[in-house]
Amino acid sequence: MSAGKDVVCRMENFRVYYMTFDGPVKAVDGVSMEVYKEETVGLVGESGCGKSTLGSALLKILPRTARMEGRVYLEGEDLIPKSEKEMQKLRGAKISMIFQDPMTSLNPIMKVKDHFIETIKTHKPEVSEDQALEMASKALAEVGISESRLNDYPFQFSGGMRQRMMIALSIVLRPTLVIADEPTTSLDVIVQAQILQLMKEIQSHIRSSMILITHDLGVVAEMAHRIGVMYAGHLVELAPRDTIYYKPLHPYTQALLESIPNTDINDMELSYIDGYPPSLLNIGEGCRFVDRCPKTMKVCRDRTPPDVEIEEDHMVKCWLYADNVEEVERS
Amino acid sequence: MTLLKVENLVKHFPVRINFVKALFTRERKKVHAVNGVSFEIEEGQTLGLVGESGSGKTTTGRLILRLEEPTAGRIFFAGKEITSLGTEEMRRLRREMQIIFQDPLASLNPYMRIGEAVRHPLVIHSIGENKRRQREMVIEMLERVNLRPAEEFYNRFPRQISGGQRQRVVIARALITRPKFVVADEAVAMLDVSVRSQLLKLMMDLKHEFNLTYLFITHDLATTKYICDRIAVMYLGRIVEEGSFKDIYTDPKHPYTRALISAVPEPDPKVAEKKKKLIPAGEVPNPIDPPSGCPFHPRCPYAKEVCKTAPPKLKELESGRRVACYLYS
Repeated sequence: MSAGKDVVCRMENFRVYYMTFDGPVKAVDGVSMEVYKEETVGLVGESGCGKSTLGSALLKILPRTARMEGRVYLEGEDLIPKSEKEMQKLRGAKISMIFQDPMTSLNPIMKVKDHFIETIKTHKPEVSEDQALEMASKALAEVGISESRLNDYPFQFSGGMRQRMMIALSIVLRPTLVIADEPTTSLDVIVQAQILQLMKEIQSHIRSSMILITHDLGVVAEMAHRIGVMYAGHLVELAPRDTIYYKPLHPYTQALLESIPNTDINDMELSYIDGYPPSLLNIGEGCRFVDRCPKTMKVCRDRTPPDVEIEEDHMVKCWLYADNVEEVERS
Repeated sequence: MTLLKVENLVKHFPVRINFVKALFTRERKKVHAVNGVSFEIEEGQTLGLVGESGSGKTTTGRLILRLEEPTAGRIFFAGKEITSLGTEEMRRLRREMQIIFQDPLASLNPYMRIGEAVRHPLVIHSIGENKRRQREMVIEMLERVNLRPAEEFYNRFPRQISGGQRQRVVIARALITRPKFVVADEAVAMLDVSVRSQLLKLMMDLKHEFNLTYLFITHDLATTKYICDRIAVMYLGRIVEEGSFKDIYTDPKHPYTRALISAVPEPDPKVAEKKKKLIPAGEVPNPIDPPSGCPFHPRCPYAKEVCKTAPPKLKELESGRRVACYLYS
């Protein structure tokens, strides 16, 4: 598939389980996907679907109870066997993260400039402090913050400014892959629009790839080239943006799209998905949407659906589209 | 009939400064949370109060229920002024005026079983002749908000149920006294899309069933469409525009309302491409030191000299349509 496109990141049957006394919580279960060069992939899903776990797992910044299996290649290198030390070299330099809440991810007693100096010096010890400061003010200028604020502390910034600073910090070393985990969720709608605009500009300017994790389908639709929909640890559908919106195949994607409130005043029907997602603790085989799905078949309860390739770049994890199911099982 | 009316509501919170500073300065700073807000809600209608953080929408809701004391202004409920009612009278009145908060986990006592939490208002207002009758009423209410089997939910603790279910409990608790008026303060903001729509639908059904009047406070314009008859947009403690939800959506007048509507991310790619973005630069100014004149003038693309002088009055453009902007005077 996808011949001719440079793959920056490839996940193969990627699984992240949180080990508890009661058994594993299967937060991410068998995700396979690729991220191409200079592209933005949006990952959408509701709370607990595993999208944030997936993002953090790519940087290996999960709690100790998490077990990772499968393969994750970043520019050809498998990240799973890497030690913490090796990962530290990659984080910030090759793969970086923009978090939801900049206040908790910035150090409140470190000046803005010290955040930058630390990041730069960790990866490039040969850079002098003056050079690092110069890089910092350039990165800040890119996000629209004047260099006079290098001596401020993060708490002296407003929420939107802090998120701008977070973005500057994550791109100062020009990483190949940026993971943005709900970057605008805690912001007001007008500031959100400003930040999204900024992220678009920066990405095309530094030519990095991005995985944008969000629960807001409106945000991904404005930002992403391709959209992956997650549900209860599974990646249930992955396709280009317009395909997801106009030709969704997975029953969950269809229901999710119908339940988003829009601003179109001719469309006053509000539909919703009944029920709640399942608990991921010790969850077994089978499709995880089975209890809320209008098209459930027998096979859906017994076996986990395969990743079905519908056409180039359109994957759906659903038995409805698999052709190797025997008729008996369909009933 | 007008059920709720507020006139020129003002709330200033004093900013705390340290003792030594207080000795040497006479200046007392205030957060201008609500700056002269007036509106009415007809019985059975829903008014959406929309704005960004710091616009004063939550404070307005709390002032109406007298959870905060207003600095100035008057509040009328069912034709009667309630601005200066005493604690005991206010308590009795709260049977008819309830509030649903944003975070159900924070508004439920973690050590109280769900059924007991919902029964509590009945105890406070002495509704139901005995405990058994009250229990029946609670079970009935839990069933009504789709917490089934209700007997089982009655004995659970808040942490044992999901966020959506917790918000159902909070709704059940607010409605068990059969209030006339409910303030829903970001009642569905914390929930996921699919669950949010479930809850919105429930609130709409309950509104018809119990003939409720809502003040629906939210930052999310898209959810107001389904539940609100009218919308008032707030910015820095003032209402800048008010109208029927249709007017606000299709023909926003105030530059701030226009910006707010254009900033809502649009999931439909074709619509998104056509949509014009009118995003003002900068952020909401500090309410301790709000701009002179129109609060929006430093960010407004149409700002004129007059906008800096005095805040524009909320003027009636046509029936039921009010805008506070010099462009329309």
